[in-house]
Amino acid sequence: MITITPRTSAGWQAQLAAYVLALLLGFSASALLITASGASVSEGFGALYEGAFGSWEAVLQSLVAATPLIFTGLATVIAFRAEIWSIGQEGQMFAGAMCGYWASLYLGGAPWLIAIPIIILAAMVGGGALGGLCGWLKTRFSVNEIISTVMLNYVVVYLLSYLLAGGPWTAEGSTSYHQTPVFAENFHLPLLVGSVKLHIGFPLALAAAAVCWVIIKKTPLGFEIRALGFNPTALRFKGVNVTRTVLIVMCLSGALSALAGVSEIFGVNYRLRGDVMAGLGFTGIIVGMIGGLNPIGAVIAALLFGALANGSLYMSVLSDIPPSLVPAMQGILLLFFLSASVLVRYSINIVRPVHV
Amino acid sequence: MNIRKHAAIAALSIATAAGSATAEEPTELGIGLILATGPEAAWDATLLRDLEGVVESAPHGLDIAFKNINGKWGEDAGDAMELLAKSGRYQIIWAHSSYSDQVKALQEKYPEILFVLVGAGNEGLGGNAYWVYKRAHEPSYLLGVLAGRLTENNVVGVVGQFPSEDVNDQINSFFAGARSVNPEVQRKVAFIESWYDPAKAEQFTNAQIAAGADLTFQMVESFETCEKASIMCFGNYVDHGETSPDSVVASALISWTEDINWVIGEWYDYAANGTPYDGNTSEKWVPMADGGSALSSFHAYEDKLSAELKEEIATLSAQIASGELAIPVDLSLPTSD
Repeated sequence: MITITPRTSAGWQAQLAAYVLALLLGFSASALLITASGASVSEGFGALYEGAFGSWEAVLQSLVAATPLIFTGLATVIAFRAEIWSIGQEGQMFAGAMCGYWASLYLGGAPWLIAIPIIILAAMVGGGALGGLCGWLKTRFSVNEIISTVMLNYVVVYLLSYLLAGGPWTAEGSTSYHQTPVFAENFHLPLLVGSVKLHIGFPLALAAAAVCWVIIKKTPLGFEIRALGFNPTALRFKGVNVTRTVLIVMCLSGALSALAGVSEIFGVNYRLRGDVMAGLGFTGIIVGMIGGLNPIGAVIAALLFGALANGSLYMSVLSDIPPSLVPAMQGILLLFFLSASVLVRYSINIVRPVHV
Repeated sequence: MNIRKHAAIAALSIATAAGSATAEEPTELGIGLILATGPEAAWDATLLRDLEGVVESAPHGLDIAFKNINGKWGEDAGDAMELLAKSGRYQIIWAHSSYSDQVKALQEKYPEILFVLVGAGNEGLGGNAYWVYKRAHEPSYLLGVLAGRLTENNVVGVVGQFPSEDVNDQINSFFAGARSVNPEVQRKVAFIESWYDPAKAEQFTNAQIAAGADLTFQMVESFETCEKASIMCFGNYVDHGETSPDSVVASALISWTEDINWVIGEWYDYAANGTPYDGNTSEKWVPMADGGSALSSFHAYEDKLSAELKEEIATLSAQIASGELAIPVDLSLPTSD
């Protein structure tokens, strides 16, 4: 019989070893796939490396790709540490981008020093409110957060579609499409380095990770979040207002997801459209899980995902690997990572049945 | 004498060199494709199919090689375009969707490369950026006529991708066709908010069927749902009747061959003759009469449809081809009744 039991702690060395092994196994399996396709493994991996870390520009591009994932990963960490299974990162990210854009409509020619903080704040309020709504539904009506967050993801995405499809936010001057006009320059997140679009969203994401770490590890709220995950009944008997904690967690998680939307829309694409954000929220859940529900771990996982995304791009363009193999390789690596994350969180034992 | 001789030789050499420069015709062409989805989506699959056909036909005697980069949007697509441009292996970068933001950022940096933008959501950039548009509203009108004739309860559905111009035009023409022969037709319109998502397509098709639709125009390629529900469907972009003969009555087909040949011709003129690029700034599309779109055959429904209906469709097709029947392009947002 196989038993699966949660580990108390695997230790950071064991975790690191598990993920390095996952990386090696993932690449080995990918190499087999590339060989089977007749393409050159060295050329493919060479291009992957070049895209991930091969040049200063490539590194910066990897950081750009990692930025929204850090935010949605952190959103996952905050919610999941409290064992609130929010799947709403995607919708909250959209809500954040939408509220940020809505605020920008009233800012006209305001200088970026004024406009950007207001846009960020508006986005956080929007994402936080959406998260808070799910928290309120959970605490007030016992609505399962998985259901409410998933459903609200749809609602928000379709609300954006309504606004963009011939609605008040539709771009003028180009053929009708689901996108806003290009933003004025004062609404662009300032760039940090030259022509590569590494913007202030990246240091903001690192700062958010540090704040999350401090909250979880060093504050009474962090204790409540962790305790909520372990035993909410005990927490209630201790006199903690669990309803308040759930609401705070969901608002925080929503606000963090919203920052991913701001980062991607105001930092990279400079116009609001749904397709450029699609999937970043869901990927954040994987990032948070692989990061061991630890803010620092989530940052590392997001950086890895960013490097992999940019490396895959180079691999598709510069090598002769069939285009369909690139997402397959990403999927293989992801499977090995998820397996490693299960192994570091759970102990799998084979127990022989005792015959009496 | 010597001076004259040398001058004559020099003049001859310069003339020969200049002559050979203008006469030097390119023999190879690399095309980099940026696809929003990949060969699994009909929009992209039709381009790859037609490009392979053009490669076979070798226009201008060119040895053409192409590479497709799948599933790229926004800045990822821009980065991919720049990598293609930097590699020096691609003279044409065909960005098969709304990528004008990305092309705008690159077109001056790579003036020798011909960029192609496709469909709605773009702006005409001109110069070395050409804009290909695809309209399939004419065959969609014919599908609508079929739907109007075949529906039993007068509830007809459409499951579309996004409400963008080059989707709206097809839906509006489809219903215009249906109502031209059956004014009682009620419209059911849904968008899955994705360019390719079979799972969502199935959900929305089921919703259309639950809402009473006994015929649906499947712009999103989910035909198993129609088969399970035993309803007739219409396909889009590729001939889905070949693969789903039990449910697909006919499909609105598109072809990129004319567009690809036009773009290659423009590049060739630039490369061989030095003619400056002159990209179009307004939509350019190839009508049904010139092969830009078509109605598929009826496959398994050939024997199931009445001779009168087939005759009616053939007549309308001929009228569209001759220009006798003009199908207006209606870009308004289609809604359910």
